[in-house]
Amino acid sequence: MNTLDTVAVVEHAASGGGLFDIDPGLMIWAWVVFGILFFILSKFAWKPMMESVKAREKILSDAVEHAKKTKEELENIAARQEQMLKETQEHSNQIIEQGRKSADTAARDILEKAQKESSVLLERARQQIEAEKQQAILEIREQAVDLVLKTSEKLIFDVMDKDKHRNLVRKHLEEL
Amino acid sequence: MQIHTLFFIKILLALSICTSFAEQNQEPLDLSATLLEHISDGHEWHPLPFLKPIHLSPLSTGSVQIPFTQHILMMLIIVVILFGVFIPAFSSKKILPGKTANILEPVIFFVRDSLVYPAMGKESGEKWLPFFLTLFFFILLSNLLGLIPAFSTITGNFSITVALACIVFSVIFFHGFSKCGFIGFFKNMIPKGMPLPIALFVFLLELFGLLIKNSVLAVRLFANMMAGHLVIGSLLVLIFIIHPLAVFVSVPMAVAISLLEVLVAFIQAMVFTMLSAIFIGMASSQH
Repeated sequence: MNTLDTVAVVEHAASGGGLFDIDPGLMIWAWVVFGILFFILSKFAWKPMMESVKAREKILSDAVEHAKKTKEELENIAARQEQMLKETQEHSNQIIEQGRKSADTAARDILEKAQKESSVLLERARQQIEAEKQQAILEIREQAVDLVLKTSEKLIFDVMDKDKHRNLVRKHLEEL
Repeated sequence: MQIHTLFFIKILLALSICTSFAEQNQEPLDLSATLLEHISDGHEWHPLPFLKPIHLSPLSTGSVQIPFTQHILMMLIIVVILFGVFIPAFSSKKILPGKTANILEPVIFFVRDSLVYPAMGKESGEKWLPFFLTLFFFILLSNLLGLIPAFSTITGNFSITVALACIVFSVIFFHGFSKCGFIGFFKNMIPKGMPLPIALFVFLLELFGLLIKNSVLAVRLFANMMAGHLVIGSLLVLIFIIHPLAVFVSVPMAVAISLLEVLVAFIQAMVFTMLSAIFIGMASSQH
């Protein structure tokens, strides 16, 4: 930079110009450059960027929505499961209760029946015993009659004939 | 950026200032000129301290001369970087973002959810989001590029920030007209049921306010970016004014300011985008 130039710059600076000078050529350049930047970047950078960002945001919001739905569904399923579990438990409890009750009644029935049967059997046995006893008594009587007859026949064989005698004895026996 | 990289950068910057002094053939140092030269636009580009500066000549096609300066070159570099980063990262419409997209998407979402949507609402915000994203990344990259030696800060040039503010200004009108209609847009500026003279005054005031708002938008960005570089440059120039040993004070301080500048680069890009969104959103809102 030669001396003249330096002096010019200094004078420029001293007068307050220089810094605030407006160069129309530069301004037009700035406008042109900015315009080109704006159009090319809009077309090749900002537009695709905004589109992809929008697509991404949509995917994200969809995913969030989906997750929310899934969570709700899961909660529903869990609630239903719990409900079912409770119902099943109740049901099984009922079944057990019922089983116990029916077992109780069955046992009581069986016991009652057995008791009844045993009493019937006992009664029958008693009756049989009674009948046997009667029979035995009858048989004993018959045998006793036979015995008496035999002995008395031997005793009084000569006095009476056999039939007369038997009739007499039977008559006496019936009177007894 | 790691600290030692920043140190290296500062040393390079110091060297570049040193060479610019050397070019002045041991003339008495003119500090303001050196500093101003460092941040202002020119037809010469100094890629590295010891290389010869590259002369950029205007492109002439026939009778029309198209200016071509250092800052225009920077703009073109920014365009190349933005295209090179964003188009491969986003052009394939993949559902899952790639590596670069993964890094950039949080920033984009920040611009969308924290700057644009609160100011403009979701409907208009989505429509204008490409504009704000372009604005944000253009400014951010301009700010950051200026922190790397061999490149200069185009947002430290008032013409560029004014051009950006003009774009925002025209978008305010465009959006306002498309949303409320030509008359409705201007009607929005005047509160209902006002006597005519006052209404006229308020209308002029509103119009003036719109202009001021946009000028401030331009000045804020420009002043912030320029100031940071001036501070760094001044700290480094101290080495030549005070004593060569001042390097041990100046360089760490310049590194600290550079770190701050990284933050400022982000903040200013954010502020510019946020205010633009607010202004554009305000233009179409019904009072």
